[in-house]
Amino acid sequence: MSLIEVKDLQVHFPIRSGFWNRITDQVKAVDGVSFKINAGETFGLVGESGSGKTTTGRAVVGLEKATGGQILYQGENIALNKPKERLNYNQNVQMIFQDSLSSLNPRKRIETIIAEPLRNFQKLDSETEKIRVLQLLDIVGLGPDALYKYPHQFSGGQRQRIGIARAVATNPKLIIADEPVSALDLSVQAQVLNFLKKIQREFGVSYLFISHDLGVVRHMCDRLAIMNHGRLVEVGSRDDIYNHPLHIYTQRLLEAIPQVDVRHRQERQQERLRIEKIYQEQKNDYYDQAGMAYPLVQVSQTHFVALPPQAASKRKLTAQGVD
Amino acid sequence: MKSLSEQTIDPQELKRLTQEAERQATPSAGKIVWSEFKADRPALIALIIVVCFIVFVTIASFFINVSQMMNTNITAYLNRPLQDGYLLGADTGGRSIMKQLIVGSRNSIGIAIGLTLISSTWGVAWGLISGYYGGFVDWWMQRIYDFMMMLPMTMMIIVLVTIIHNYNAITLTLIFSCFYWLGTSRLIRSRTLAESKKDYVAASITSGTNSWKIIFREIMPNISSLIVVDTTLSFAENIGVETGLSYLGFGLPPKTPSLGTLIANANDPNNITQYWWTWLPAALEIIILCLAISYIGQVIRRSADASQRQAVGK
Repeated sequence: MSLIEVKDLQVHFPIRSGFWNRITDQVKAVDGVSFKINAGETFGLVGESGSGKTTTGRAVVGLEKATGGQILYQGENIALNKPKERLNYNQNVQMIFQDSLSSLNPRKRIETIIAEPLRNFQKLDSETEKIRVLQLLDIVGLGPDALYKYPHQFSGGQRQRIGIARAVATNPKLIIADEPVSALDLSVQAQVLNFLKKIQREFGVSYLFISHDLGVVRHMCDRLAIMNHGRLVEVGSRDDIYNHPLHIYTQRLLEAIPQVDVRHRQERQQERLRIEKIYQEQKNDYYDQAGMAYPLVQVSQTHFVALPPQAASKRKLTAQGVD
Repeated sequence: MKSLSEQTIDPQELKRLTQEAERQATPSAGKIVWSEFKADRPALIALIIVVCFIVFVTIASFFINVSQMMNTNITAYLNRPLQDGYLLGADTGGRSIMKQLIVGSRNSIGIAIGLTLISSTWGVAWGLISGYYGGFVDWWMQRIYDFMMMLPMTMMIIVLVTIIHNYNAITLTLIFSCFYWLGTSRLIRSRTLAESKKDYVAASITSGTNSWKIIFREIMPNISSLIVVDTTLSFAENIGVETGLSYLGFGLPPKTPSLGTLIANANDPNNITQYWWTWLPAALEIIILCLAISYIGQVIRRSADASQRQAVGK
């Protein structure tokens, strides 16, 4: 049984207009997304800006209301509108935010910020609580002198580490990491990512790692999903996605990773142009009339791709033949 | 995970850190405001005037027998200032203007303070709750706001004052408070809307903090500067509220002196031209008080916004 299973998740935002301010249309930020995350693994969610990956993450942690679909935590359906159930759920599912400055209350000291989940979930006495906060600070490499400082007294990387310390405070099973390093410079990115890996090794926590940086995702994730226009276009292991991409969008996305290789500059450019040409030619096959991706089809044990219907039926036949 | 003993630091170290943190911490709001006052001479003088004046009228009014003071005394009919020991003269009833001014100021300022406290508290709470919850809660709360806004405020107050037979300063304050929270609530709501979209609120939600705590312990401290500025400026405005209504004859009961009843002496053309001492001191007092308070309000606004500060250093 997987730790968390998202089934056909939908998050639609109403567009209101006209004199009566009625709902005239929907923005389908997330439209039928399904995936599973196993205990102790890192599941990457990759996509361009506006593809709905952050909304997916926020819906899983309960910050955004899902308009459809289910979220199963350890096989149980979670009703996030019930405060008590939600409280139990959030003890196990926490989030790291993209903007480290705005995710820490500027009026509070670090001690209070990190102790917040502890105070709500585990009623500790003040001495134990302080020791636990110091312990958490130590896990993310900050000394006890951080305890009484304010968020603005830290650098971006340190602030993000404080955000991580808060997220792991209650020993959660799953942490939603919403682009945790995209606001940091490269050297600090590596440092924060290594802290995330270290925490995973020590506590066996799972990550839903949301990012648009394919290099970072490759470093972090065991399995990943590519998201486009609110739907998943490809799900697979790291090897499936990076070495055998099947969807034209994935191929195009991977080709966009910059490479420092002066000698082969020309060939790289030709390759990119070739992929882009294929993408333009086959765009209508891979997306339906509304510009949405088709449902996922299983092509191997671990690999799922949103193939067009004809290709999908062919794949199914071969798959059955293999069986 | 490392063992606890390895982690524990001795209490002395913790104490040292606490002290160090207190030294490094940003100066408290009070300190910032005070240094800002010191940098702005007129505002400092305004502060001294307002504080001294309020303290003076509160203490001095304890030594005045109000009912005796309000008795008519024909022999002192329209005494000029400094005549027969009347420092600021007397009105048509021979009542001392000076004493009326002291007691009246206490009444008017008392009502203004009470009104500011009640209406700001209510308005801030209304705006915070409406802005944080959004959706249906916000919709209903804002329709109530719209309805209240639509009512002709002055007329409603006059009607209420006429209906209630036996009213005093406290009931009057409560009646005013029903109508004067509106502006504050909209202002606070707009800032709360922006503030509640920030990630620290989302982090508090996932940390299991309940909504009331998020509203009043997380969001409210972050908009406290706006609340302080709004409260100060509405205090200056609220002095005018009671005064205006008393001037029209619907404020405090006739036997209770207030700044408004004193200014109402200016209804009579004779008083305006010949007997100026009956109304001029009260008018001057209101002008000076409101000016001084708005100076103070400006300083507080500046200290709330770091980019506008005039005080150098710290």
